[in-house]
Amino acid sequence: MIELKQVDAGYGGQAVVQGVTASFPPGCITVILGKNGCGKSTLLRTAARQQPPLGGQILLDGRDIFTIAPKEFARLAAVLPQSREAPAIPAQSLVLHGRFPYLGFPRRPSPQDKQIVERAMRAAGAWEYRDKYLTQLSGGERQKVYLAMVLAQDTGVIFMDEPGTYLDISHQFEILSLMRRLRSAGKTVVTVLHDLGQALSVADRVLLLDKGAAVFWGDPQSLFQSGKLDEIFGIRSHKITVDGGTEYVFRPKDATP
Amino acid sequence: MNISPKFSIRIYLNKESPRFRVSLLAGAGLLVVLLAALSLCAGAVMIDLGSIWEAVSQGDTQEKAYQIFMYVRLPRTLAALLAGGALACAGAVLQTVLNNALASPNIIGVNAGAGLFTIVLSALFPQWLRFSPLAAFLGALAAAGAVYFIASRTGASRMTIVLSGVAVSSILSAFTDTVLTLFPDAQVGRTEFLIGSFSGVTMDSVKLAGVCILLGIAVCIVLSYDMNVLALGESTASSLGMRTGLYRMVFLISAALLAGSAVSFSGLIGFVGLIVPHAARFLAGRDNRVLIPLCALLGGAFTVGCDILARVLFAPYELPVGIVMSFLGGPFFIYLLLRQKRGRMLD
Repeated sequence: MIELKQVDAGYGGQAVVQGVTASFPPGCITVILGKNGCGKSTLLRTAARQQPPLGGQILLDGRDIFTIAPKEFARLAAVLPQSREAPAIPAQSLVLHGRFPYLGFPRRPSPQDKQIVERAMRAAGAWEYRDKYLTQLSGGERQKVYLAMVLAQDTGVIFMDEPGTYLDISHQFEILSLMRRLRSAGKTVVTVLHDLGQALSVADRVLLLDKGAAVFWGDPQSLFQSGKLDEIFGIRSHKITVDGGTEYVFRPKDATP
Repeated sequence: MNISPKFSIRIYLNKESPRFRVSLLAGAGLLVVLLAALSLCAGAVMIDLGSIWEAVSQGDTQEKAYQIFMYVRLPRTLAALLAGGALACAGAVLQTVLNNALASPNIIGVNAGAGLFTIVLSALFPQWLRFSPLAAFLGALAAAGAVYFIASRTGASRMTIVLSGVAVSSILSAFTDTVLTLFPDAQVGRTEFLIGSFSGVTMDSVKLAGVCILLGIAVCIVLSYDMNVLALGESTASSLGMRTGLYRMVFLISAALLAGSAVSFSGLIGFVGLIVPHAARFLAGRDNRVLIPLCALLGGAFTVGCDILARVLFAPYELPVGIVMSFLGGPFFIYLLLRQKRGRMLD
C-alpha cells in the first residue's frame, strides 16, 4: 500500500503538482491521468522514490519511503522507466539485473535467481529472445524485456511510466493484460497511461490531475459519470458495448454527426 | 541447447559463454607472458632467457647479464605491463562511468592533471620525488573531479563531458608548460615525460605505484558486476537500489588512482587508455566482469609490445614509447572504427 499525503512534486524547487493525497492499495490498478505536462510522470517518479518530493510525505506500508535503504526499497517497489535505453547486452543479462537488489558480495546469481528470471521473461513474453542483444530488438520487444526485468525484481509494488507508448496496439494489449495478471497476483500497480480508453478499461482507480492538482480520485465509472474528462480534455466521451464488453470512445467537443 | 543452422551467428552470440570468456582471458594472459619474456631479452644487447636464469640463480651481481636484467629490463618490463594495464582499465572504467565512448584518461584531462602534479613536485620539491605516485594520484583526482563537477552542473550530456575534459586538459597543460618554462632543470620535465617513456624507470619508482595499480585493478574487478548495473543508466540503476552517486565516485577515484600511478613513472602515455578498452569490447562484449581483466592484460601486452619496438627499431637509439604507440594504435583504432558499421562503437 502506497499512501501520498499532501505531496508536492516538481523539479528544482518548482512544484508541478501540489497537495496530492491518494492511496494505491494492493490488488488494484491505479492509473494516473491528465493532459500533457500536468505532472503525471513527475508524480509517479516521486511516488516511486526516483526524485524527492518538494513537500508532503509518501508512505509504503506505513514507512516513509525516504527512510528505507535503496536496496530494500528496490525489493519492495519496482519502476519501469519511460526511457528505453538499449545497452548492447543480451536480453537475459538485462533481466538478471532485476535480481541486483537481492545479490550480496560476491555478486553471484543463484540458480533460484535464474529460475525467477526465466519465469519473469516467460510472463512478459520475452523468453524467446533471451539470447538476442537489446540492440537487435524492436521497441516493443525491448519494452517486454524491461518489463521482465521489473517482474524479476519480484516486488509488491510496480510503477509503470507510459508502458505502451510508441508500441503497436497488439503489444499495448499484451501489456494491459499483464497488468491485470499482476493485479490478480495481489500486486499494487500504479501506471501513467496516455490512452484514455485503455485507462478507463484497465483501471480500478483513476487519479486525475489538472492544473497542478488532483481533481478526481475514484473508480473509472464515477469518473465517466462526473463529466470531468470532457471538461478537462475538451472532448465528449461515450460508453459503448462491443462484443459484449464495455469500451469508451472519445470525440471532439464540436464534432458533427 | 538446440543447434542453430546459422552457425556463424551462434559463434557471435557465444561471446557470452563462459568457455569463450575463459579462453579469451587465457589467450591474453599467454600474450602477456610471451611479450614480457621477449621484453626481458630484447634491446640494445640481446640476452637469452637461459643466460638471464643463469646470472640470476648464481646471483653474481658483477655479471653484465645480471645487471642488465635487474636494473634495466626487469623494472622496465614491469613498468610497461603495469602502466599499460592501469591506463587501459582506467579508460574502460571512465567510458562506463561517464557513459561516453571517447572518455579516456588522456582525453578528459586525468593524465594531464597527474602530469602537472608530478612535474610541480619534481620542480619545487625534488627531495620528495619518491612520493610522485601520490602527487600524480591527487592531480588525476583533481582533474577527474573537475570534469565530473562541470558535467554534472550542466546536465552531463555526453558531449559536455568530452568538451569539459578538453578544456580542463588544456588548462592543466598550460600550467605544465609554465612550470617547465620557469624550471627548465626540473628532473621529470623532459621530452620523455611529456611523450611517455620507460627508459629511465627504476625499481624504486615503480614499487609504490605498482602496489597502487594492483590495488586499483583489484577494486575494479571486485566491483565489475556493479559497473554493469551502473552502465544501464542513471534511472534504471537507481531503481534497482544502487547508490549511483556513491558508485560513480568510487569508480572515478579508482580510475584516478590507476591513471595517476601509471603517469607518475611512465609519463604522459595516453593512447592505450582509449584504444585498448575499445579493442577489448570488440572481442569480449560489454560485460565488465570480463572486460576489466581483459583490459588489464591487453593494455599491458600492447604497451610492452610498443616498448620492445621502441627499443629495437633504431637500436642502439631509442624512441619514446608514446610515439610508437601512436603510430601503431592510431591506424588500428581507425581500422576498428571502419569495421564497425554505422559507427556503432560510439553508441
